[in-house]
Amino acid sequence: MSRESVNIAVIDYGAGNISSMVNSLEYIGFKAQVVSSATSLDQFTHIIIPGVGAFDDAMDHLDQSGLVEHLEKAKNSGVFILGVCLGMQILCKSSDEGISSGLGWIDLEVTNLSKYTDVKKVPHMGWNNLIFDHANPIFDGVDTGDDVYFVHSYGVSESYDQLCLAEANCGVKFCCAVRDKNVFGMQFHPEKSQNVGLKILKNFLALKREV
Amino acid sequence: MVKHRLIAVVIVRDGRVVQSVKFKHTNVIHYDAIHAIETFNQWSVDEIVLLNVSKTPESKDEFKRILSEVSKSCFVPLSVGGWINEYQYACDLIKSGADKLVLNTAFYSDVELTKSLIKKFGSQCIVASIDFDYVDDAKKVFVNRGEDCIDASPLDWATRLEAVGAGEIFLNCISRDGARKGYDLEMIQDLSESLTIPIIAFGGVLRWKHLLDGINAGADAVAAANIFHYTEHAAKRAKQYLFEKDINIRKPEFMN
Repeated sequence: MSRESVNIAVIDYGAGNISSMVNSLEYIGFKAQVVSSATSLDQFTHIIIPGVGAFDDAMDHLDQSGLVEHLEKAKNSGVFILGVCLGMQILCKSSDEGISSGLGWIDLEVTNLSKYTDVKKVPHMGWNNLIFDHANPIFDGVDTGDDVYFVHSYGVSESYDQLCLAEANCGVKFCCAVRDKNVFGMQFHPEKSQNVGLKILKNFLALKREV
Repeated sequence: MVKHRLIAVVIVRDGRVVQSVKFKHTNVIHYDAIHAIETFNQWSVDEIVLLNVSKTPESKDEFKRILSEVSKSCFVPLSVGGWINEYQYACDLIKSGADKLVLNTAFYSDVELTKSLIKKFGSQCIVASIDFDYVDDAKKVFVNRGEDCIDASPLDWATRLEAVGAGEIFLNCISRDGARKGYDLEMIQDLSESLTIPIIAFGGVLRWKHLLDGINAGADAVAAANIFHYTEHAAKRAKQYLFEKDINIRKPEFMN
């Protein structure tokens, strides 16, 4: 796929550090457009939703941005969407962290990792292994056991078998990469995971809509 | 399980990368901080800490400019500190590409600022830097770039900062800074036994074994500055060493 035919939006809804994401895309040769106000997303092939902070705040910000209906439309038309870190969590139905509903595009729930006695340190912060059995285009050139960078206190740790692409283990196993059709979530930060992360971002941007 | 981290610290004074010895910075190492960080990023360091140790706040804008340049080619987490004494400046640093903020004096002189930053960016974004040294055989905390002693032991201070909401402790012993004798292991051990947040050990590394000692004493992450400048491929070799000692750490490899 030529780079010219990839058109990337990075969603800036006031709850995330978008510069790291934009910098990493630029480094691998893609110019992303930062979208922060309600506007049509029709022209994009790939949309990235970063996110740091608290779940309810993020959902409030996203609601206020007026972008939800445009995102919804893009999702329904088959645009590839990637939520990173909190961006993955808001794609889910709900989170222990807040009372707001998530977007619900991924039929999973986000759990407080500190409720598990086997999880010794929260936040789960640092480099940890990706664990996966099945080859997947998103992990092309990436091996199970490769390290990626995490920083989070909540995660998808229950009933995720159907949609999970990869797990990680922070004392308890949880789903760190998820896919439902054209919607992807990653709990780790590909933009801060050096070679491995940049490869995963490239793989995501290489996904092509089936016509 | 989550791995130990090897952290390269880049100390910047008036726009230049300097060597730090007991908090004095006479030796300019690189004229160009951007080049220094690009090199580290290509090595297998797990994280980079960029500190502005300039004596005056006039350095803030230049430092921010350096940050926005280095962050363009830094694909490991980047923690940034020095002269963060205003809310807006902290937000500007995040916007310029910082992943975490390193706060030291603010925890003493403006705890409300630290609280509002914790609320805005979350605990995981706030690294509490603690400088300590010996005063009549007692360990005491210093603020203002090591100039002012406050009447608190490092352990009491760290416990307090954890309660305020700091996400990590960045621990440095002033008289060991640049002294090549290794970390203050006793202090690392005391802190790691009492706190639940990660401890980053810094100050005094000359040999790879010093890194191992720090981890064995309880540090979650081990940091160094000068050795990364003066030893070729230092990060990779340090990683290799720790890897061979069966430390759970990210594989040593170069970035393509």
